[in-house]
Amino acid sequence: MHPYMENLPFLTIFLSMIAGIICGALHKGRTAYQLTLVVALINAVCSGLVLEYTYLGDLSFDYLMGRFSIPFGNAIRCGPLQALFATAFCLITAMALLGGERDLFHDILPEKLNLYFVMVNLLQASLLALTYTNDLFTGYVFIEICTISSCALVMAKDNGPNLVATIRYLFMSLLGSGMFLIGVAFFMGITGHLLMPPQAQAVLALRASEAYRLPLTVSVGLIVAGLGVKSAMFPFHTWLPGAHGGATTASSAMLSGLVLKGYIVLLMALTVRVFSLELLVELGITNMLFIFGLLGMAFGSIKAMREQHIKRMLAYSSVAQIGYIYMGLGLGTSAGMVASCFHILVHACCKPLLFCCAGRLSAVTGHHKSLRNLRGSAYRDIAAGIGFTVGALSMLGIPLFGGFVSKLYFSSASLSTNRTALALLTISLSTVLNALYYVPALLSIWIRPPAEEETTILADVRTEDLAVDTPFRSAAVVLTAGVFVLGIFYHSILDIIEAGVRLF
Amino acid sequence: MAEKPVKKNWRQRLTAWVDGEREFKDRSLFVMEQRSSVTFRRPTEEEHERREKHRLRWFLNRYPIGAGLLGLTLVAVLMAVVLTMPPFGQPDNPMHNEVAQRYLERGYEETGAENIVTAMILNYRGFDTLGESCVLFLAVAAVMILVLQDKKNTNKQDLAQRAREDTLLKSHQDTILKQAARILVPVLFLFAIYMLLNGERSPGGGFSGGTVLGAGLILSSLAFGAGRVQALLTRRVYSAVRTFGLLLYAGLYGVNIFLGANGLPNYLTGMTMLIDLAVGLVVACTIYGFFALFSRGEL
Repeated sequence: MHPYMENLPFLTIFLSMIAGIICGALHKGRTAYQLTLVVALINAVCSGLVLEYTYLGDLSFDYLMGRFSIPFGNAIRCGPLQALFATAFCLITAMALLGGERDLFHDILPEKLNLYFVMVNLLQASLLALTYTNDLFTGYVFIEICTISSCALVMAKDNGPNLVATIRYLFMSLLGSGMFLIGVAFFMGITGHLLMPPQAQAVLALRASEAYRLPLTVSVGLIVAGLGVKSAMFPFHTWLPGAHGGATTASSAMLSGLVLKGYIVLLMALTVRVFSLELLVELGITNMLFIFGLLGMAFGSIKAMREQHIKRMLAYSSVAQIGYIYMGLGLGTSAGMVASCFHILVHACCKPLLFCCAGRLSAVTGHHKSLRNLRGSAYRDIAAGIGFTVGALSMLGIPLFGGFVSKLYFSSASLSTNRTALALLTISLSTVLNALYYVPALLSIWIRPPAEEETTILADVRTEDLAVDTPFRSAAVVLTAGVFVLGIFYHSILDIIEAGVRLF
Repeated sequence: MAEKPVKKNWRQRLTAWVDGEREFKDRSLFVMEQRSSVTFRRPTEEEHERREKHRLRWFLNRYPIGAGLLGLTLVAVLMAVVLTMPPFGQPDNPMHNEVAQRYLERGYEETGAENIVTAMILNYRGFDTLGESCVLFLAVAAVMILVLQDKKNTNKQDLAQRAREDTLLKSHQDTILKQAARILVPVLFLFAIYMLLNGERSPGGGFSGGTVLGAGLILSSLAFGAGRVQALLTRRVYSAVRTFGLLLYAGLYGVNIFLGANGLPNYLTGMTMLIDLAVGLVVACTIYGFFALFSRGEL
């Protein structure tokens, strides 16, 4: 008999799964919305309790998904890090739904809203399962769920360009899944197991005996590349701007805040539990991750500078931020991984905030999305303006904001490696480039345009959009608070992450 | 419309930099019209088109070569891996370990399913199978978002066209298909039910049985007209069956996991057959749903 706390991770996965199934049979979109929101909040609270239990007890535990012990049946594993990610993911799903609520009911046909929430719930279930899984094939199954539901989230706002973006997204995603699956098949062939603990032993034995060197290299490479394609690692990022830039606000927030991270969390779990960092260093995979990370940091920002569409600009900025995370992993040290984990949290908090605020700013500007037309929009909804500013300053890495801490830790993690100069130079270059597009965006929303221009734009605005959007405001307050908490009380959070990486 | 560049002071230039060089094509639904900026010269339509065409030709000329090379490299790498993998069927392969041995030797005793495949997918690795069933459920939901008739993807012309086709089909019924279906459909349903209920003991089970059931529905819909099946399987019934199937599976398996993980005694000995049935319902609904949605855009 387990302590009852240990049942909670499994219960959260099942709760969102069952909520998703029920949403399929609901008729009213509003009911499905409320159900989804409540489930996300309950899951956040439950995961928070698990976090407290694992962190204070300094433990991580295995939980059998069935009646059969570890090499025979499915299992999940939970430690402080998994619980922390789960809490953040559930909370941010809820905030994204709140922040994008108006756009959601505006963009999606009422008779199809319940299907949208099927996707949101199962997406949450899959993110939780990807975070907790201790089984490579369970990982694959939930990657599939994640793929389908995230494509459907883009597609739900049904217009031509979005369908094209969805097709692109689907193709790239399936390419990633396919690579992952081939990798898993090879890996299973040479280790004989699907669960992570026995696989780790088999990998140790293979490394010692030097047997099956080529299959090992290729399978690890395919698994990493598959997850890289799906999480928009630099040269495979081309699907991202269309998908994240075109979707409805809540979808964009969830896709770039959470979905990209789900795959990276799985990759981290595989790295620590199965492959081990030493093997990745030995095979040169960390070098590849490091280089792609650096390139992503630079090119994502350069592309973002050239964008005038505010949501596409934010989407390209995600490419750069994912680059940071891969650079941290590519350092090949546990300090780099801690910094990456922290950056996952920071980005998961900032990007939904930015997307929700951008959605709101464009709603009060007649749903125009170009920076030029958004001029002065911050005065029409002060909360959105402040939220956008906080998010942008955090992305720039201003002290007291979350982004500063992650840049600090990336830099200090790079000091003990032999790539210090390259990492530091790229971080500073990327910061300058970030400033080159976030500062104009900030200027643009805070500077009032000439009066006649403003009146022509205001003519497109519907009056109900100008009314105060309370759900959005509450979401913006929570996410802004999150950015500050990450930037000021980072010591305790980094403690949790360090404990989590130790107990992975 | 080439204009002379106007001399600007620093403030105008800063504003221009903040605003960006030119107005991009806003692709969202809500844009009323494009506001062209006056002060910036933009390429004319023809110029733009010519440039795009050139770029596209450049790309299309090189694309097959690049893709071919990449594909060949991948093929070479994967072939090399397959050649160095453990050869098929050797007794000392890493795959032949205690896991497979336990599945084969103690599968019946531990799960009550004589069919080892069923024992594996519904008991040992049942959580993965639950995930797969969710994938099917999601796939239908995604197709519904995409093609289910609504005011955005269907107009009056489409509806009129569909009505014309329906009347045409009604007046030219295919006798051979109809007579064959009259014999086949009951047999198909019977066989499907046999497979669903007997999946524990013989080849079959939820996935294959559900597929046969779905095929029977499709055949009857093709032979006797969509209306006949729809009268029985209305949208509400369809959605209820689909939800019920997956909920039953998730509920049963959730309880099973809870009992198993906490080391409680196993109260769910007859679970496998019920789960097979639930999976069958989900799969049948998926197969029939795809057919109905893609052929008519409605359920």
